[in-house]
Amino acid sequence: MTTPPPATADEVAGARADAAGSLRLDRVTKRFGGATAVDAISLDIRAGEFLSLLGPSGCGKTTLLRMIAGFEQPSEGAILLDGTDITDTPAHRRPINTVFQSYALFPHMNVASNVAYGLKQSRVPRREINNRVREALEMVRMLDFAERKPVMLSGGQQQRIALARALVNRPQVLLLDEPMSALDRKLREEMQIELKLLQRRLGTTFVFVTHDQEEALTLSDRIAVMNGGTIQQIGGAEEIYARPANEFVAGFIGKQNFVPATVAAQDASGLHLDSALGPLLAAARHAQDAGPRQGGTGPHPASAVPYADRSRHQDAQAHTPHAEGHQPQTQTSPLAPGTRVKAAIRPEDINVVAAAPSSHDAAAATLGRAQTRSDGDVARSPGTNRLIGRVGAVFFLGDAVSHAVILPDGTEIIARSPRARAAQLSTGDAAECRFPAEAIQVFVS
Amino acid sequence: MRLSRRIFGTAALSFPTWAYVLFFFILPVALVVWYSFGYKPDAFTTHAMDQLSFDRYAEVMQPTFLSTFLATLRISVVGTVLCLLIGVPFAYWLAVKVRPERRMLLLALVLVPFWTNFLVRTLGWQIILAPEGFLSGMLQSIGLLGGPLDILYTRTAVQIGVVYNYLPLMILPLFVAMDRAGATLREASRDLGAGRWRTLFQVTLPMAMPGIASGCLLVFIPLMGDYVTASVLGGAQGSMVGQLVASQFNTAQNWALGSAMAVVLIIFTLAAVALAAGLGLLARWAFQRYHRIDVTADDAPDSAGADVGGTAITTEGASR
Repeated sequence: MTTPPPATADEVAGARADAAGSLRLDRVTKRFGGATAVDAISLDIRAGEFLSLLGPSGCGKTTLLRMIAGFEQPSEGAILLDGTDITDTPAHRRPINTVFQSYALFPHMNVASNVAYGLKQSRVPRREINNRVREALEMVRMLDFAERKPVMLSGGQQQRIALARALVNRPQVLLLDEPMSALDRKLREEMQIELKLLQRRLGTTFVFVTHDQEEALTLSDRIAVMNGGTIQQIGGAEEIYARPANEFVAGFIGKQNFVPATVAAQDASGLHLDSALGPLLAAARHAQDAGPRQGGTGPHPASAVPYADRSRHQDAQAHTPHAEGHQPQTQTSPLAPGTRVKAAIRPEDINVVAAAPSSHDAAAATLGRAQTRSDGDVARSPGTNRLIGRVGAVFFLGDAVSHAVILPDGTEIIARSPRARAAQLSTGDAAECRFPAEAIQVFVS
Repeated sequence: MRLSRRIFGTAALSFPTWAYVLFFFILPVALVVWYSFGYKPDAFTTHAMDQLSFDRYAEVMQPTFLSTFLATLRISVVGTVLCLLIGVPFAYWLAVKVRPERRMLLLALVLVPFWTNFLVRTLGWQIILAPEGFLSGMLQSIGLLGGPLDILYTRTAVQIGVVYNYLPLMILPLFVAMDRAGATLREASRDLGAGRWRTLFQVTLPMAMPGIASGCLLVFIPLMGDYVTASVLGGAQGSMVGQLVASQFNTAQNWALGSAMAVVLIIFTLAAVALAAGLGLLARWAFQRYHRIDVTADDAPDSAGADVGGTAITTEGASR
């Protein structure tokens, strides 16, 4: 454990303190036949940033990456690297390298020749090639495997070689196309840490494509959530999680309970909603449209519901806005009564307790109506929503416990509590879901 | 016990194959080798085995026969090289440039000639190459040729015929090999700074080497024993060993001499293949030696291997 961390990463990076690596995508569009894979995406990627393109398969993230690499030509729009238009620059002339999903190591070459390939193309002197290949292999701890053929390596080892083969060229931007998808969970987590440390040391701009939200949240400085060829929201991990811009982002990142509802009224206490579960109170002073949003340079016209308490422990800590990304604007445009909305509640914001065996609760349960308390409890916790149902299932998740509470109308509410604080409930027990008005995010549907 | 059962189980399963190869390949070849040591006693007997000698081989080595052997070798080598030169660009185009949904159609077109009888296809070339044929007339009318086309019943005609007849056998393995390399590897090559030509010579062709080798074998070996093409297009000038062997068995009724010719043909073919394979391996060895990346530290001997492992992130390979 006394071994000093290898300094080779800096050597690989070489004298590239001056090197930038900022990318600007200007209304980049890609159409295949009639289908639009990428729809007028504008995006600024800062030099040295770790940016993830996150979205479901078919959302256009890989196509966008391939256009940055130069494998696909945009139908419209421009790609600028450090201010220089590279839209028409062929792939082999771009100072951008890619780690492929399948690694794409050359099977007829050994590991060292694979890593040396890019340097040979740019006619780097032989001696320097040898040194840089050695450094790159040391950086990914694969020097002992230099003479092996790729088929003799495991998936994780092949991935390290793919990484070394790309980084040895000291690219301005490194593109990673779901590089972890073929690795098993434990190895993937190790590689994530390694990748993040490497990116920090090298200061290279990383553009990382993934459909794994956990991976994106772990690694990225900023995440661009994509769907249907557009960027739905771009921001830091916490911002995207806590203040999703629309229903898609809210549902895609983390888990959500979605409840269809109608706006009843808006007053000083908050937004009153009617739902099949009964009346709900949201602290929202503003709601936003559910339509897709362009990632752009300017501030977003609308943004997420700001709400203070999203912590699992519900210790009423004020939420500090994330330093990365833009600030959501907290407009106060009231929603007209009758507007159809979706109320979204995170499982970890719901506190499950055993239902009080009072006649009032029993009556509410048998009547098939959950309710917002308007009796004496309000003084103690104003604006707390309470839904009464029965525990349908209990999931032990290790550090947490998840309860599926079935409400009288059949709606299933998932709640998640830290293990130490979880209520001791079993399947069939009467349970009450409590969550503050601030936990509800409202999206116009 | 389990091992022996496994061996016998496998042997039992492969018995039909072994039996087939033994009865229809090894025994006939052995018979041919055996006959080649005999002689033709009289005009009405094909062979006699009561006196064994190498005399038939001495006969085969006479200049008249030997020149035919060398001509056959030349036609085969040139034919294989021509097939390779035509096949590589075509297979590359088919595997790399053509859209996947059209590939199968084009590949089927390559195979269309195989639907027609080998002899009929070759006879077709007689019409094309005839001095009064349309090719001759066309070449004369555009002024490329002063007189009628004069290549039918020559080695040139045989050469053209064999390239036509054997080209699909070259294209198919080449296509498979180039298709197997896959678009992602070519993209990786471009990503690392190699243009189209460099990608072709550093990735696509080296990866297609097994296909190139099998294509050459598929063309060269049957070509050495070809008999129909030379008979139809070669006439008296363009004869190949296959015709000599056939005439010894069918016309001259000299099985001993025919067998000796067949054995010499096999030896010639094997020797040529072995020589080519040896040269190929030598070239590969030299190429790899020249391009080897030496990662042993030459200027920083202190830290080599010292920082492998030891931190939180360890080499996965070390644990395997």
